[in-house]
Amino acid sequence: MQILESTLLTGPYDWDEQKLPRSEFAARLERVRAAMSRAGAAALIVHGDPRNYGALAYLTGFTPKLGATLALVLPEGPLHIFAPGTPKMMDIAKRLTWVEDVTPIGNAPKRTAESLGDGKTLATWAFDTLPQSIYNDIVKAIAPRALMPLDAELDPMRRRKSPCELALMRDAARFLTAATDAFAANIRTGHGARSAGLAAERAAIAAGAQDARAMTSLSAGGAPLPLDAASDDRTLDPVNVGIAVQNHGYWASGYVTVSSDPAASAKARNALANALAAAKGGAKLPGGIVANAIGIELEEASGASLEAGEVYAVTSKATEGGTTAYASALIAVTENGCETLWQGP
Amino acid sequence: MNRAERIQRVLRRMAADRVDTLVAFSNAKHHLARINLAAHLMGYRALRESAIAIRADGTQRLIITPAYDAERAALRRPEVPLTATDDLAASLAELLRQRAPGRIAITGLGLMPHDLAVRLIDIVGKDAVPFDDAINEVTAPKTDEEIENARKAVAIAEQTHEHMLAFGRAGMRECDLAVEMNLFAKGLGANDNFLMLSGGPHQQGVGASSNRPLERGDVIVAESTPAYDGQFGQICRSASVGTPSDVLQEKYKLVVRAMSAGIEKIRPGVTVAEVAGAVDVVLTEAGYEKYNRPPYMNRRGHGMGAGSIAPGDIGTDNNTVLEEDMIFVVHPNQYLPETGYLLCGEPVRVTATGYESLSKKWAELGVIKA
Repeated sequence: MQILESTLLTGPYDWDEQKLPRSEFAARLERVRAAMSRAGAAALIVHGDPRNYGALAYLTGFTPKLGATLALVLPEGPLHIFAPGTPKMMDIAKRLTWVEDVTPIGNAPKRTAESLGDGKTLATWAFDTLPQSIYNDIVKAIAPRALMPLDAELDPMRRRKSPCELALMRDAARFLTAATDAFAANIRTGHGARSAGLAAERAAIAAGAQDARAMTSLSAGGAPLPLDAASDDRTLDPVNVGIAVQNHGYWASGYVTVSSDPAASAKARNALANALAAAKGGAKLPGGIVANAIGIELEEASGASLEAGEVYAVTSKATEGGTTAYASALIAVTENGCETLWQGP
Repeated sequence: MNRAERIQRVLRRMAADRVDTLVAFSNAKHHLARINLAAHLMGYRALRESAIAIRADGTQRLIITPAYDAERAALRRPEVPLTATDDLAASLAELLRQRAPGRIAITGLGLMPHDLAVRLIDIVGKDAVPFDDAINEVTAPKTDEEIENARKAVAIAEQTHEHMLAFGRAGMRECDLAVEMNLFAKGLGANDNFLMLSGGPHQQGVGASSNRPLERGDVIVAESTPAYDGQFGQICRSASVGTPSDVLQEKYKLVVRAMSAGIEKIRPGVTVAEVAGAVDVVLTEAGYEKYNRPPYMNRRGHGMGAGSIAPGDIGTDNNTVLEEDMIFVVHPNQYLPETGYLLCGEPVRVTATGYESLSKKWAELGVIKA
């Protein structure tokens, strides 16, 4: 699921040690440093922004609210975060992370180059989404040394969920149920798609979600799209909704159809049930079923092949008699099967 | 001015610079205070990276991602031919293959994500003319549609502020108050909200809301900026948690007076520097000259996106000449040693003879329950 980026994230994003303890981050950092060592990297620099922050948040807990943010990891010693904003905004930025050293991003290329010392290689993570202008500044600052992407080694690490992460996603799934129930109830009582979407977001927040985003059909049976184009001018039947809710940095997402004609929904649900029955580590989902790994980001990777230890949002879409319906679930995949964290009605 | 007239301005500038094809790229970040000229030309908030290609003969094509966003794009911009795709670079390459592009100018490439930017550079060529400044200049005035949307956005901001005063209370976390304000604004028709809100007894600045609970004696400072149909409109306000002190009330009147002095300067032909200077004079006369610079203040206001942020930051170093239909916010947003950081700010449109205040009621120090 892809959502329209907000101009500024609001909600409880400060690092909460009760929910994500320091030991969780220490274990992650140890794994990342081991990968750096294997690759012979003198340092690692990690990018995140308000849309693509999975790698940065995994390592530091920092969810960027204002713009591109970088974390510098050396083979040992404390981490450093370069955050957007003026110097007087750094105290608020420090609340977002367990990392103590947080300074404005302006001097990031110079500081990064200096940190390399005699090292020849700067490893990168999530630089594919770094704005081109900042990318060029860093390349220029470290020249003639080279950048070495470590995404292929590091991304799978953050997709494997710890017990602590799974607990947060179970709570997120609970908030998702509150949201989808509110959406369906509002549609069934005659509200328009936009109002029902907003009611879903409010219900998720009331239940405890950190953030909630709903998207709905713009026409009867249409794909769920951002609410800025949705309207309450006419009643849609069927109406599809996609909802994403976040809990302490972890997302749950799902699609639901509200329709007076159950045929398409039944077909979608049957296909989903068959897919879930076959889901396990190493399995490929049948045709017509779409899945993506989910966690700190809504779409962490394709779900073309399921991996044990990862969580997936799985969606079935079916058309019957000219009507399109969705059915979806959130599953934690194991070696021998899967645990359903959430399943739509 | 309507959107077609804006495009005509762009075409005239392209002709003056012998540009045959303009390709404006959007990174799908629709921010209050950052330039996204492609979105400005499209009048559409893309879900993911997108582009608009404009030929010298006036033909246009919108290329959006992801493909499934086609229904929304067509609904928002039915008059512009559309390519909905999952591969922006491939679709742009195909478009430019269909008809020789001639001399290409580009905007927004530096803000595109690196991997995609590398592919796009291959397509438009390394010698493509950077055209950000040119397009920013000719599209500075807002269209009639954007101005009307700004008025609606500001009306939502004012209602949302009243809601904050009624809903907020000591003990509530800043972030929970901010979320409630966002939900309220959305309920009034906003599609986004740049809401900086923070509280404290003596703040150095305003920040994104944290988990800190509000306390009696705090001053809440808020930049409330809903977007209506993509156009942002900002008001800046301050509120005391509990009864405000005499000194707080006195100093708040001072910053409002400084803001008013700046706004009263506004008319076409005046420079932005003159507006900012008028704000500074009031504070200087009150004995705060040393506070007329960072870190005690940042800027005296700014343009309002999304898309164009002309006329830029309101500062004494900005010599941009004001034109009719530019819209921006004037906000002293000032640290004073007696009170900490205070916010007041009003959004304005430059008219033929002066200014239009987009807000109905100018800033007064608010009070929320302790």
